[in-house]
This record gives sequence, structure tokens and C-alpha cells, in this order.
Amino acid sequence: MQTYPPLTSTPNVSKVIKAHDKPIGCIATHIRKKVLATGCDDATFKIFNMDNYEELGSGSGHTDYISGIDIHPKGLFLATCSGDSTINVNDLSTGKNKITYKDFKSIVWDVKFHDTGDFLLSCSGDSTVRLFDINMDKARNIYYGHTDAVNKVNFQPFTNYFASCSADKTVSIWDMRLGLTVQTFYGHLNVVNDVIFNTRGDMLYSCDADGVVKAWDIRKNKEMYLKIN
Amino acid sequence: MFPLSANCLQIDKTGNTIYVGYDKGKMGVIFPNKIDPNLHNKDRDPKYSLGSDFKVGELSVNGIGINLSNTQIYTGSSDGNIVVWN
Repeated sequence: MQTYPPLTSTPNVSKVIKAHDKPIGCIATHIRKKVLATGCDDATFKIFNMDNYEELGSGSGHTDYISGIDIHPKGLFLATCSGDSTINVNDLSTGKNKITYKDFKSIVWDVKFHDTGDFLLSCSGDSTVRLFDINMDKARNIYYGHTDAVNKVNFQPFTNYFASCSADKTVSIWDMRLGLTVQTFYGHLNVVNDVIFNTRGDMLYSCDADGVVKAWDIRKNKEMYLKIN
Repeated sequence: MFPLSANCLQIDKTGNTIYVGYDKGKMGVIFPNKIDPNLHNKDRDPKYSLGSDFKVGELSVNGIGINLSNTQIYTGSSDGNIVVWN
């Protein structure tokens, strides 16, 4: 098991990079390479080398703001989703578009690659989560259950489960293969904006529009701590 | 209750620190666990605490990333800047 030095609890600014002229809506780092990708409200994305902070490339392809971005685990592709209700998957070696997914009824809020690199998960303002096989042009599975926009999704590390958070104030864990909700956590009093697993995959953290961060123990199926005061 | 919207979360690779991006350029640091994360759940300290918060800029923090070696934090915000933290 790889060990890491602890990150400081009192971080200091070491560099400020003027990446875009308009707001950055999302960023993604690669799990093995020193690159950072940003998605911007001007419908463009940029990729930076985080050794020397140089821009490695940029692109567009959307007609509205970029709301989510992720880098393929093998570094092959970059996925972006947008307010124009599409997902673009770009080939990073050629810079060309590999595939565009268009069958959404609303804004696509987030995209995430599975650890294997074979699947791409997305969530949308149409209350659905969709799973794509990146070699196919249609959704492999559509997950229904939330009653309002789904804002973020994240895979449990190295499993076939994922979590979603929604404007319906809930957080859900899903079985990717069965297409069913495994657990739903209630407790947020406002729109849930983000959800992440810890690296062990046994805890889930979510944050909402009230500024509350909640921790959920997946094994015990309960909240571990109520809110930050 | 924290008065600002929490927009994004990131957890460091040790699992000991969570970074939260808020509106108005704030980043919060939370320590979910003060003991060895490799211990079994039942041995964990159930208390979670807000460590501190930092001013990133004036506008919303919309994305947080952490580098490979767990030594740097990156924040992306509505002013178009990436801020690198050590």
C-alpha cells in the first residue's frame, strides 16, 4: 500500500495562475500524471503541466459553459460536459473529438471516468444519472431515482458502486451493474452540491448550499457528524 | 451553520483532511479523523472538526484538486485563477 505525506492543514499560496478570463467551473487532476484540466464558463477547457505550470493544450466544442471535466485514468481522453446538454470525449493524443453524447434533456452537471477507463458516468438536470461505455454512442444504463437535478457523481474507488448528490437534498449510492439504489442518505436541508468517497471507500462526504458538510458511514448506514458550526 | 454555499469537496490521499470550496473565495479545511485511518471503524474518533478556513480570492471556489504526491492543492475559482497551495 502506497503511503503519502500528510497535506498541511495550514496551506500557503505558492502560485497563482491566470488560467481563464471567465470563471473556472470545474477542475480535474489525473491520478498518475502531473496534469490539471480546467473547464470554463466561456465553453473552453485547458490542460496544464503542474510541474512548470505551462499550458499543454486547450479546446472547445461546446456552445455553453463547461460544468464538469475528467481525465481518463490512462490519460487517453478528456471528458467535458456542458450547459449545452452534451458530453464531449476528446482524444488527448490527437486533440480531436472522439464522441459526443447528446441524448440529454437538460444541463449535464458532471462526468466521471470509472477506474477501469471503460465507462463514463454523467449526471444531469433531468434528474438522471447515465452510464456510457466509451466505445458506444448510447447510454448503457440510465439510473432513475432522484426527484431533482443531480449535481455530482463519484465512483467508489475500484468498485462498481457510485454516489450521486442532488438538488432533492439527498445523497444516494448505486450499484452500477444492477441499476438500483443501494443506500439513500437523508439529512441535508438544502441542495447537495458535491459528494466524494474517501480513498478506502468506506466513508462518504457531501456538502450543500447551506455550507454544511456531512460525513456518512457506509457500513453503518448512518451520518457520523451533523454539521460544521 | 456556515453562511456560505459549499460548492466542492476534495479529500487528500491520506483521508485525514477534507478541503471544501465555498462562495466568496473561501476554502475550508476539515479533519474527519485525528487517529490512524487504517484502524477499524469502531476505533475511530467519531468527532469531526472544522480546522480553519482560508481566503482564496473574492469569488466562488468551484473546484479543488490535489496532486499525485499529496503535496499541493489546486483551487479553481470564478475569477478564472488557479491557486496552487503548499
